[in-house]
Amino acid sequence: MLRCDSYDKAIQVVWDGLKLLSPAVRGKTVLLKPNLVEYSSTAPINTHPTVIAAAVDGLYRLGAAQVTVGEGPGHVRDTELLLEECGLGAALRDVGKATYVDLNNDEVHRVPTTTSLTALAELWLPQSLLAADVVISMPKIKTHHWAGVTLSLKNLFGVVPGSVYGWPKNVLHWQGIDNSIVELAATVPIHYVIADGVVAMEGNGPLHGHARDLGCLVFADDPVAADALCCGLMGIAQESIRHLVLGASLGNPSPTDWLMCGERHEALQQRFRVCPHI
Amino acid sequence: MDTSAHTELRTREPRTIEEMALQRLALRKFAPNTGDLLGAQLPCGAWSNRPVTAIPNAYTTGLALIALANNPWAPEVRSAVERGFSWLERTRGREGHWLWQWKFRLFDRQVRFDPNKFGWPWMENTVSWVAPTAIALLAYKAWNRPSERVPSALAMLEDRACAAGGWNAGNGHAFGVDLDPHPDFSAMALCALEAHDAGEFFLVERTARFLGRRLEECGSAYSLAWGVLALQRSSGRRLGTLVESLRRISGRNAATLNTAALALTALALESPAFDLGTRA
Repeated sequence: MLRCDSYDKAIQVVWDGLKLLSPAVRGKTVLLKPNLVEYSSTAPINTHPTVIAAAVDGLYRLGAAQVTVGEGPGHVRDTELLLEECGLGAALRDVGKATYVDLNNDEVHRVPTTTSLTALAELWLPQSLLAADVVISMPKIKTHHWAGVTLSLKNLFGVVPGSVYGWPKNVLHWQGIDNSIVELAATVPIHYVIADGVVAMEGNGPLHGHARDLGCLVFADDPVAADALCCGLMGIAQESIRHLVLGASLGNPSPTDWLMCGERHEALQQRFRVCPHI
Repeated sequence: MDTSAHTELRTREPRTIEEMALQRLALRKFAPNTGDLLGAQLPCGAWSNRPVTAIPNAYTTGLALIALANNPWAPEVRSAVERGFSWLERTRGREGHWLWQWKFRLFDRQVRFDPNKFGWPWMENTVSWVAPTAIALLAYKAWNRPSERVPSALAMLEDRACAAGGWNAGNGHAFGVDLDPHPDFSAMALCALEAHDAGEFFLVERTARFLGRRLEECGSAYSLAWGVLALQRSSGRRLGTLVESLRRISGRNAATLNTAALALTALALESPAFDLGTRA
């Protein structure tokens, strides 16, 4: 975890974090999965474009063969409009080497699910996700009115294609949000996490919460550990987050077993307000 | 009118039934054909947006029925249309079931909506959403097909509207907050209400104002095209400006637009713009 109190510093901090993390990307195809929900001029809903663009650039510097940014927004069909309004389109053009794929409309393949947490025996998932050697989940650190928090695991809802399941992907809600999060995480491996906590969101997330300066970026090679750490940063007990409890076996939730580099999380820990309906 | 969008559209191989149906609609005067759509219909009567998945989809089924209404008549079309509407008649949002109505009324109240008013879900065993409901309503209108489902679906659209006018994917108010509308869903719902001569006057007016304002600086052909298709009936005020923007964007970027956006653009740039609730 590295301190980053402004997006002006994010390019350097992302590069520093990638060097610490040393992701095995040399010669590999990488899919970056940011959290891109919808545009708001006031609320920090989405993973910041600067962080995404810096990750693209850094991964190429580390020898990645191809870096693709992919997302399938759950409420927005017009990805072109969203990319331009949230600034990601311009940020990726500046980097120059990144391709963007709309996971809602990508080719799909059948993938058997691997748990019995949902009644879904299979999921139809995007080609760009399945073909990537390395998947990096890039959530915005936020509270969530249904799931408690939305971090690297919940971020996987965005890989489920709207062209198959609709807008929103309501079938996942009917299977139970927490169960669906873990089903997806067990089916789709997340190799690394880069979480945007420079400006985070508290309260009625994922869309209508309030900005909270958390001032850090989190880099991890374990999504469960990353999400547990982010819960700690928000002052939320990881045991209160059902999908983290259900999905504990998908990673290492125990802080005593983590090898931590960079900032001590106690130094940045805050107490976020959660949605009163939770 | 043959535009750069039409020209580009002829070169496209549709990847989804949504793309195929919109392409067939846009090219109906140049290359009429329904064979591929009829061949993609599922045994249950619905269309899946991704045929490889065979998952019935109400939005796609509505679009396929609208495309069939505007392409040459063939004997097999009648049977396909009957089976398509039969599937729509028996497919409803889950909130249409008394058990779920009870749950939504008593326990699950963070999202404000009236579960008595229901339309169509994207896929079976989920609740009603704006896009599949609006497109299914347009299909009923295109075929002038009476149904007990229509009044409830129209009422559902009105119930789910945003406070400031317009619609998003499906809810106007959740967790104590008024939610923002989106241009494409707003346009679909407005098309559906106006095709059925429904919709409270102020809702239509607020939605038209929202669309005109929201799309003024919009660079996306997909949203602009939906806006033009919706505003042709209700408002001429900003329509000319939006048509010019769309013409400019599509003339410049036709080759890079996705097939659905391209087909919607071609339909919107017809003179007058295509009416999704009509039959040729």
